[in-house]
Amino acid sequence: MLTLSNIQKSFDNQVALDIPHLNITGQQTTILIGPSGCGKSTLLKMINGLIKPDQGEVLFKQGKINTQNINLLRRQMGYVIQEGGLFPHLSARDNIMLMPRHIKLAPDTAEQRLQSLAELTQLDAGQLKRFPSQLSGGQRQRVALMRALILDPDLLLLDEPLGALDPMIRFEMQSQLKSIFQKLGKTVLMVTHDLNEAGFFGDHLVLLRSGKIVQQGTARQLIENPNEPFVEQFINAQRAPSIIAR
Amino acid sequence: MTANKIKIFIFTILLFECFNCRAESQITIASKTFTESVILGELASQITGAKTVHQKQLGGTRVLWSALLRGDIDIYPEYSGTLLHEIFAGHDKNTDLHALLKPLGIAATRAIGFNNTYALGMRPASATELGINTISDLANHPELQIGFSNEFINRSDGWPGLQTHYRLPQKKVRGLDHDLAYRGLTNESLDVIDLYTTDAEIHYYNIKILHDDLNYFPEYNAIFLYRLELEQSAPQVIRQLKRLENVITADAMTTMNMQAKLERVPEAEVAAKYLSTQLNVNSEIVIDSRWSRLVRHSIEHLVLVGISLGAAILVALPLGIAAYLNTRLGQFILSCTAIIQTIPSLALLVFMIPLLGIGSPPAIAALFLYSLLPIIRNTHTGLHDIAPPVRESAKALGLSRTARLRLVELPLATRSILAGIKTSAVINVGTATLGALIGAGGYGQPILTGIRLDDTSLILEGAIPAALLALLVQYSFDLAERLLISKGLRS
Ligand SMILES: Nc1ncnc2c1ncn2[C@@H]1O[C@H](COP(=O)(O)OP(=O)(O)OP(=O)(O)O)[C@@H](O)[C@H]1O
Ligand SMILES: [Mg+2]
Repeated sequence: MLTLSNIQKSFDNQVALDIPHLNITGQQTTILIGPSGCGKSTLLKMINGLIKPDQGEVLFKQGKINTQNINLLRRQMGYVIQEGGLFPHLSARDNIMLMPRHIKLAPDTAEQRLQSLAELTQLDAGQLKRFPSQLSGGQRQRVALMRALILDPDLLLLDEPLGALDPMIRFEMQSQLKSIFQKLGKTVLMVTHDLNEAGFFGDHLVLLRSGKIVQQGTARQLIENPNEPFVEQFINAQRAPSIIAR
Repeated sequence: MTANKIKIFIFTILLFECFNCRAESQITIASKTFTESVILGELASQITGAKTVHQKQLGGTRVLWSALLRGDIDIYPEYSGTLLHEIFAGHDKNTDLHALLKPLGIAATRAIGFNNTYALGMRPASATELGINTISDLANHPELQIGFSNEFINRSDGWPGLQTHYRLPQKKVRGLDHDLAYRGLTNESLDVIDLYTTDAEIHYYNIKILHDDLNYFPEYNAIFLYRLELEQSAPQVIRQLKRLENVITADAMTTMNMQAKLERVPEAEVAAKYLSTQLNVNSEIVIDSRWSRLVRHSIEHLVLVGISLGAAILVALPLGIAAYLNTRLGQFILSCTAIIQTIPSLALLVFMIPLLGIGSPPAIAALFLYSLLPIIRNTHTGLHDIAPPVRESAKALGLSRTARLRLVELPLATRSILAGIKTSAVINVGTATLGALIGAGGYGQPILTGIRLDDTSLILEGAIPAALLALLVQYSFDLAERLLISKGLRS
């Protein structure tokens, strides 16, 4: 589905990404984890074409991403950026419906999708009428998810999409999203800080440090066979609070 | 769509309104910005009949002379001294005027009769106290406060020449409006001012005229200058105009000046009375009511503001967007418009005259240039200040560059853009009052006349509606803001 090869990217002579090879398998969920500033968001932006690699190339469905095809490809990628990025001048509903209207999707289809997504995210019609500034952080994240899903894209790039949700909704959304991803066979690339969430969603985990891939595999593989002390450290640091919670 | 049509319709009407004044090829008589010139303009216009229009107080010598050369105006009253010492400075003073004028396509009538030359004046009390009777006597009193009209200070036959001729020691000379100088003299903030010998105020304020003992001031015989071609195209107009030759004495002129300036008789009426008693010419004059004047000035003002602002919006919005899209180009655009903004408004108006003549076109052009910067800058800033995540997510959705501008960026910049247009509009309404200085009319007209005649009610007749218009503009933009800006952007 998605292949990155020989990717190099630096900001002001600081290496932000250095990935010789990474394959994202179709129809499964890949989780990007790693400490803050390790390049997770940069990687998602590169796949979406917001950032150009200094070297190397990104292949999406076997095709190379370039400036000509990027806008069409972007419509096949639902991208929830870390900050949500809702348009403040549009109501939640208009934020979601902007692209369906722009590409002249049949209004009935768009409306149907909107309804089922609203059900999934547990947002009611009243909330959808509000502007982003009138919504809570968690509600905004859910609107951003709806906006990313409304064109029914093959690939989903999710940058901490559930970070601001309270544990109850979060738990419910996790299971619902997971079943949607599986049912519809979506390819998902998700960034999260929460190892539980990673293990819950992820068929495949990719651990980054300073722009480099340290280890990838299932959650179990990472936990049982860490190939570096850093992996162990990272996992232990993440695991502690959830043990206490139990 | 209909809103667009209405806009185009209004724009077209305004355009017509603007060029209407020039469409009919009437003979235009102009006058300078002081009362005597306006009266002379009225005399000329009434005696020549219905074929002529009078553009009152159009500007100073330079403005009128170049307007006459360009053919923007056809006739204006001038003084022989001004021609010799100002316009043809550097020529032999004994040259025949007609020989100088003819190659330029200009002709002059013979002297109308009176000599309105420069003189210096003081309060009689202070003159007596200091023992000053002649201009030479000023040499012993370098401490005297001197205030001269700006034109007198700058022209070669004015203060610079006078100072050399009499070896006067005074270094500090204040430049001010001629009509304000009298008030400066009477309230003792000035001791010496320049005068014209037919000024109404000489008698009124009882001013002591200093004897020109070294014969510095040349003759300033009043004449009419006109375009030579009128002798063929409108011989009867020139024949009528020449009936004023050798007729008006200095005394008669001073009296007329006094009636107009101090008794507040409209110039048209003063001229009509003179013509009927002295030359048996009866002219019908229409003195505008305050109300009809207000309507006329409002239309003129709205034309100036409407066209210049409308054009500025049409040009500045795309420039602001271009400045946002291309940083290099943006810096260039922003610095160019900033430079325009540093030119004083009056200077910009005068710069426009050689290019566009007089009247509303140069005023509109100057106002247009002035209105650009706030709109360009605010458009650029509004777009530039959009939060990066919002800009990024618009890209990430797969919107093209133009779609992003239209659907996301411009709506988010609306508040800033509207604020820029509002700033431009309010400044424009105020600056447009200066348009009257180059014959564009508007609310500046009564203000200008009011200053000239020291008539506060006339000044207010322009100042109050201008202020109200500025408030109205402000209010309508506040309203537009409420209608155009998304609720989501209001905190
Ligand atoms: N536009 C930019 N210019 C310069 N440096 C940048 C830019 N974007 C990111 N960086 C740097 O690149 C590195 C990776 O940033 P990135 O946003 O990908 O981190 P992240 O893994 O998403 O972190 P977090 O978990 O905190 O979101 C950081 O050191 C960051 O400072
Ligand atoms: Mg990040």
